[in-house]
Amino acid sequence: MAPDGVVPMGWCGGSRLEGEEEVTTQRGAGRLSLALLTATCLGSAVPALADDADSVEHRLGLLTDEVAGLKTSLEAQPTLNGYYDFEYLTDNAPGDKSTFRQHHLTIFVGAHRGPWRFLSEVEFEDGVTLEGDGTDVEGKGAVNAENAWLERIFSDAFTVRTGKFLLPHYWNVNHYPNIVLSTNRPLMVRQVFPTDAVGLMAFGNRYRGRLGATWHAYVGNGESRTGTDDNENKAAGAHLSVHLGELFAPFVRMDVGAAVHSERTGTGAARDAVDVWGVDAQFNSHVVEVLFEYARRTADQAREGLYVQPSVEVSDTVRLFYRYDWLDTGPLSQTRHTVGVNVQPRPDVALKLEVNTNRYDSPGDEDHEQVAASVALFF
Amino acid sequence: MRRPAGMKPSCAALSGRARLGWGLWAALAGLLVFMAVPTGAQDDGYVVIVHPGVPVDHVTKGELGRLFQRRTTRWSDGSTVIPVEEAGPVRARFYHETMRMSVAEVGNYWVRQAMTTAVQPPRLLGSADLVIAYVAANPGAVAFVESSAHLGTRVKHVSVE
Repeated sequence: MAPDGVVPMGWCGGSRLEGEEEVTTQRGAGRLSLALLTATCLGSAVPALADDADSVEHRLGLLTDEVAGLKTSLEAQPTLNGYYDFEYLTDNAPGDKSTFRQHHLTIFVGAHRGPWRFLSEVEFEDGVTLEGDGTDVEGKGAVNAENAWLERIFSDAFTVRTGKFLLPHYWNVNHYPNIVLSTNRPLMVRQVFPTDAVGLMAFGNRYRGRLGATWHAYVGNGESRTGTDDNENKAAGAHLSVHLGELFAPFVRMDVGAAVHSERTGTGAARDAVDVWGVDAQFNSHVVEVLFEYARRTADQAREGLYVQPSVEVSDTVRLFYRYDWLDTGPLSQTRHTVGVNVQPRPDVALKLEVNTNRYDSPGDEDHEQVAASVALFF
Repeated sequence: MRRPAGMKPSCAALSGRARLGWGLWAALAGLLVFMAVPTGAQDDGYVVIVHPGVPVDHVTKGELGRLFQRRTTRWSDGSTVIPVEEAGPVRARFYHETMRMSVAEVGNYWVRQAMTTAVQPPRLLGSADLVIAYVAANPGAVAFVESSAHLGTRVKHVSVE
């Protein structure tokens, strides 16, 4: 019998051994058998394993190439986005009627090819309808190519854009209903600085440590155009914004900017000089955000305006805002106070409700109050 | 308990006020010590990795924010920056640390970018292993992954200041 604690080994492990010497002999024989068997098995298995490894490696290579091809082809696909917004407006001005408004249905198509980038924005406004036989067309609403540009990116500090583009003023560029808090835009927007240009724009940004700046400079046909320019004079302008947000920790954004624009509109002796300058600032510290723009148009079409819009975050999805607007175009002088709430249950959906009071210093315009509500979806 | 008029404060009350005073001083001192600790000493729960060919060994949080907002699109050698993100709770920590923004605010940022610049958000991958494999295979790639992820030798770890 094997002593207590000695475990029988080898392929005859079922039999018990007599004496220590026999145990040792049997162990040696068992190890030899095991070694021979292992060598035999490995001798036949190793080439098979090597074949399998080659096969797996080959398949992995094919899959990697396929994934790379799919990635390239996916990245070459144009991007398709858009937004839709719907409004309800009611006020107590004499003669005005409350109204539902299907305001925008807008499609963005973008493409990126190496250093080249393209974006188009086609806007169908007010439930547009166009019907006719080609010579006699009737319709309602508006179709507008608000953006259609191609840009070449040379570096972060220098990109050149050609085509139709929005001029680089804060609300003008960010006017989309999923971005701004209010349903109504500030009074001064589109009234002092022109909205867009067809031409060339160069822009870029540069950071030195935590201090950054973004610049834009453009030349284009200006406001007086009917498809193509109607005079030899070209509009030109620039905007410079300094980014201080990284210097002041509570602020996500602390931008201060200034802009100029100059052009001559019209033809012949009727040409008007349009020279505009403005300043803007955007401060955001998560909970509190303040937006401000002021612009003044001098020379032949004097007008000026400003807005200040502080807002406060009530929860992750709710912001309350107030905006003071002022616009003086000469014949019209108007102030507006707006209070409202903006709810974004998700980043691509916005629900808005606001009340505003409008006061006029100009004759013929009636003071009134308005309620505006809207819903917007980005897709 | 209400104290009768004219009665001096008890020793226990004085002791309580003293403790309150010392407590305020201790809290102030603690706040000062907390403010004095360099931010780099803390574990933010993520590590930043790049493709081995990227000419960067360390970045600031501000630079990281700009890389992942695609405001900086080129490395110093001119190659294209390809930001990649790991899905999951690490995103919230990374956004908070580098951009001081929440996930929802970053979502808003990309809605804005899609409308105004045609720039798309970084690629989002489902696990640290996928992110590491992607960064290893794509020159110019930069990513953040959970600090517990096994990085291996195919990617370069970048320190964050």
